[in-house]
Amino acid sequence: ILRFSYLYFTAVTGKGNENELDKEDKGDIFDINAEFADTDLIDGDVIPPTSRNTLVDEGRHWPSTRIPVVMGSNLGLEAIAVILEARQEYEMRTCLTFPDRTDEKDYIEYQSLSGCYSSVGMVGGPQTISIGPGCEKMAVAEHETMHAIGIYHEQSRTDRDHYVRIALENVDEGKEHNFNSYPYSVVDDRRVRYDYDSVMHYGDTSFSSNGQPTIVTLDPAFQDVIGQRRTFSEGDVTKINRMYKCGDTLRYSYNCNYEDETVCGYVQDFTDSGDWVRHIVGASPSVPVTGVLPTTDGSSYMLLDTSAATSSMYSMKYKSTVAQQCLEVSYYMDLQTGSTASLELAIATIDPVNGDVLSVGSPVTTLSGDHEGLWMTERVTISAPSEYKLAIIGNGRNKPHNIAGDVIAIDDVSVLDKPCEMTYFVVNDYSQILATSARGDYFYSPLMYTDDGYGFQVKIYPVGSSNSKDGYMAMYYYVAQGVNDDSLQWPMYNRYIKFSIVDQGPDALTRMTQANSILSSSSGGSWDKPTSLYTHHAHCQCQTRNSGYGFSSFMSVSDIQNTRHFLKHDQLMV
Amino acid sequence: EDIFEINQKFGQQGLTDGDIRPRSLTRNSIIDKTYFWPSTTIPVQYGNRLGYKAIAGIDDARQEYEMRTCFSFPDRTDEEDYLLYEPLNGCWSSVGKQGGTQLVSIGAGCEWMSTIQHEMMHAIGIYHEQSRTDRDGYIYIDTDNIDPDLVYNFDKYSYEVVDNRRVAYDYNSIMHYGDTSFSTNGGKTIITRDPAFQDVIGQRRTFSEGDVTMINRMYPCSDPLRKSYTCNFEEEAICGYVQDTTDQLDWFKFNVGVSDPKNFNSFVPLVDNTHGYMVFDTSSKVGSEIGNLVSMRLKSNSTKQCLEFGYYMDLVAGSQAGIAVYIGTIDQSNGDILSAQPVLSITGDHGAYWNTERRTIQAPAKYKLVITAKSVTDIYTDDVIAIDDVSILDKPCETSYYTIHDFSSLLASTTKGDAVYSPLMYTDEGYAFKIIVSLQHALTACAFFAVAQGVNDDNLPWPFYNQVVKIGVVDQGPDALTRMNQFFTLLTTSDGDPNFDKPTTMNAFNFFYTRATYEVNGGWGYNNFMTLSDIMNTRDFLKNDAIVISINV
Repeated sequence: ILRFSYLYFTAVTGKGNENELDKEDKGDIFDINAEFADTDLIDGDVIPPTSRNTLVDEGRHWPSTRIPVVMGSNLGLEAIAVILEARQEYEMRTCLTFPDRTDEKDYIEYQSLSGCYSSVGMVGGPQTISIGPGCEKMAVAEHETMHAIGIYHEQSRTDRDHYVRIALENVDEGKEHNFNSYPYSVVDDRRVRYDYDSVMHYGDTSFSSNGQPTIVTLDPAFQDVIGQRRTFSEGDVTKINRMYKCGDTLRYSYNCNYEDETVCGYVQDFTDSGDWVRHIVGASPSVPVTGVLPTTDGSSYMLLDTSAATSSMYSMKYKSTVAQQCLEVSYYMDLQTGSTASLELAIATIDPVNGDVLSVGSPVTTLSGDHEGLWMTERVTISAPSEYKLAIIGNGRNKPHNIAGDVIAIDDVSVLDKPCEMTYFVVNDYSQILATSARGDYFYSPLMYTDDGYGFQVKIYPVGSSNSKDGYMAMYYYVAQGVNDDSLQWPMYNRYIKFSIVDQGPDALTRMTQANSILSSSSGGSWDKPTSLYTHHAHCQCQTRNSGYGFSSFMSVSDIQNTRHFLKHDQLMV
Repeated sequence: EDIFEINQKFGQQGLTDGDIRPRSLTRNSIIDKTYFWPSTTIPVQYGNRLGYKAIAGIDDARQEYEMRTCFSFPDRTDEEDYLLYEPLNGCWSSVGKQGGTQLVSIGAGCEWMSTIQHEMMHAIGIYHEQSRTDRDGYIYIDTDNIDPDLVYNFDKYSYEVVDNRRVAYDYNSIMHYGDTSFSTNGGKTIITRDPAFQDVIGQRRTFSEGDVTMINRMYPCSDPLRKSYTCNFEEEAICGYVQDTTDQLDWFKFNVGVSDPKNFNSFVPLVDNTHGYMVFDTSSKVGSEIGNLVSMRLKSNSTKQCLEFGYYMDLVAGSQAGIAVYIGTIDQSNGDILSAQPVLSITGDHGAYWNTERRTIQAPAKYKLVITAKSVTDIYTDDVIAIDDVSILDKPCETSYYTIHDFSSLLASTTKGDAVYSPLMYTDEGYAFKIIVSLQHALTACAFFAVAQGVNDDNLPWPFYNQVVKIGVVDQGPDALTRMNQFFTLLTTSDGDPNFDKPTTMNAFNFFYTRATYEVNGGWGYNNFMTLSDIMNTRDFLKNDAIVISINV
């Protein structure tokens, strides 16, 4: 993870637009489908049923939570990528899985047709989900797949008129049939309250003739909430799991904030010299620590006895159903000059019968050095076996130093049953950046590398460029000169590149990260080997870059500042 | 007495782990699917010799399974595999399905709901919490205090036998034994490595949240059989409650310390552990007007539900403002309310306090709840009406509730032997009773049930025998479904004679309690019902400085 401090990147801040190209934004599902006037779709993206079966009728539920799928040959790389991501999210949050079809009679075929649409429920035989051009977003694939398993739009609920008003005066003439609501004999809300945050809710200008809202929330607080396309809401997950009787998720996740006195089952190594103890902010610590203790956004964290040489703690037995997991840990290291104290996370191999730790592997990450009284977050993809324990090892007073005053703490440790993103970078003091930036101001990330060695940078306009919608931040990907350039293939085509502003909420599983993606191809951006063409920037630190490709309106600044946990410890994570 | 103490009186009877009837000699594991029940509907039969108290306990335990899991335990017709409850020697069960008639012993002293929940968890395939493979990281067994011949009761099992379903070690599990189990000398036999949990283990109230997660992962369940709803009005979407757009006035969500959209600040109440509630907005009223708050469509799988309702009504003298709750019968297709029947009405000044009303209602399978506030003429602009913590559990409420306000000051001023008498309450059949509470030694709360003189006495059969009386201290936590109330039950029999005779004259012999009067018989109950420390310091037994005693007859 690359980190930025505000002072560091003021040196690379610039003004005005550089050479960058926006990915064409075809809008949300209904905007894309509206281009195809001759469709028979109802509700914007629903293939109407041939007979009026109801979903309350179990006949249109899939009989199993394993639903076979085929990837149509006309799907592009980006569509395939988002469908696979959507499958992964279903496995993370529900017990539904979508294996490749062998010879099953009933199955889903994803195809790239004219727009984004699906039938509702199982039709019998092959049935199509279209992820057409412009529909290549994970949340759209989740949405269309939710139709296919039997769920209508949130604004089609029987009781929707109590929560939203359909402003027919603003609806495009002839499009009124896209705002159907259905009786309880057709839809069942599964006892979930009206969910403004559902990925199945349309946005407020769907099918608008004049740009004015077509869906008006009766409580204005939800006007900007409806239409989110990040991922499942908690209500979506509850609804799916009640419908398909999921007792547990397919992929396993663990999350510990150390708020609970049982500390999620973490146990001390009884054989070493020191302990980790749960520390409640404001209480006096029960281990000898002399430095200033940090506060946190929760009320407690684990504090290391830095007077001891080594203190280990182990998780309970963890399980995984996949090959790679994303380990995330928040840590605080305020060390005295010259201290060699450090923190290691490792995978412990266990006896499958009694769970005893047989061996502790080499660290998957080692954290050392002074971090100046800041909480930091480390994320690393690990390859844990199907059963293991996580070892968190504090090395307090390393020989030959004997330094008092070191403070080491950890918080918010999570393991998600999927790999981490490839790279993260963190921008500190983000409120200050927002407060001092004007439209057109930008900064670049440090040079980062893809797994196969291509150098790149990300450019951010914190309050937007001249091309941005009002109130939106802009973000672009730049191929940049790297150390491997001579041995790589050029142009760098056919790469699926996903940008995210990470929701850093305490429960890693229920986060709603804002993401969007681009595909490197001849039709957007420049993917040739970066030469000296664009070196003439005063603040480029002599880094050679191509022109950028991305989004002039990536995310609303107000969403970053005011919703969920896009800012944590005043850090933005990209 | 807890399970192991009862069973010890009968010798070991071949039981392992205190209350587990071993299967055949082969050491099969519960991970082996053979021992899973094929369905979450398990037929049961009540043995003929079960007493009233055991039957009541089993009924309650079955109800709790339906409230929290997908399990139901219907009466057996002719199914081959079923559970047979019998009052044999002690409390015990096999682990997992055995095939054919499977005994669950609910012997004398085992008739508690939680003990029966525990034995039924064995029957569906769950071992003790302290038998977990990883238990040594959390507790250790002090064999110095255990008869060496009984140490095998503290065996732990390998991961080949038990699966903790990814639930962290659960000190609060109903499957955990208490810290003096099998002690030869009163010394502790189970020591928690973190001393904070020493007094937690061995709870016998009801399922912990970990127990429920484990059952529902083992037998995949995402929605319990009985449907419950709870709303604290904390989140902005207020659980789907909506304003009736056809009436004159509205309710609005008020966030303590955050918002005051109607400039109510000089009137509105504070709440202790949550910050959102609904306030009846009278700022625009011009006369006698009403405002309805309507729930989303609610479902029930039971004929009776318990409605619980927190309210605050600080009215100006003479004000006739009030709150009423209705069950709305709905159109099955579009959910529109067709008619509404009143179930609860609250009028008059209730001071500047939050109060709680609990009422058994009989809602249909699908309905809406309507909460109505009524204002009066615009003279009374200073009336404040608010509601919070509205829940509907899919089971009837207890018979009666007795709230003791200002509990802290009562505790401070009490001395040993002081007693507090509840107001006169009545059973559904018309018998009058009082609850006598004593805070003995400032360490434990004692509670007694006492038959009292009532208006129906001449028309009732006496003595008041064979009634199962359940007395509880109510956990007043904000999520009604996950509460862990402390209960005891007693059966009125000749054992308590003459306390259950018609209370006419001073009874000569006041059995357990000495302060009987002409009006109230001697009480019968428990000297060590609950520790005051648990009341004061754990969960939400104390809320707004009040405790609530529930009585079910």
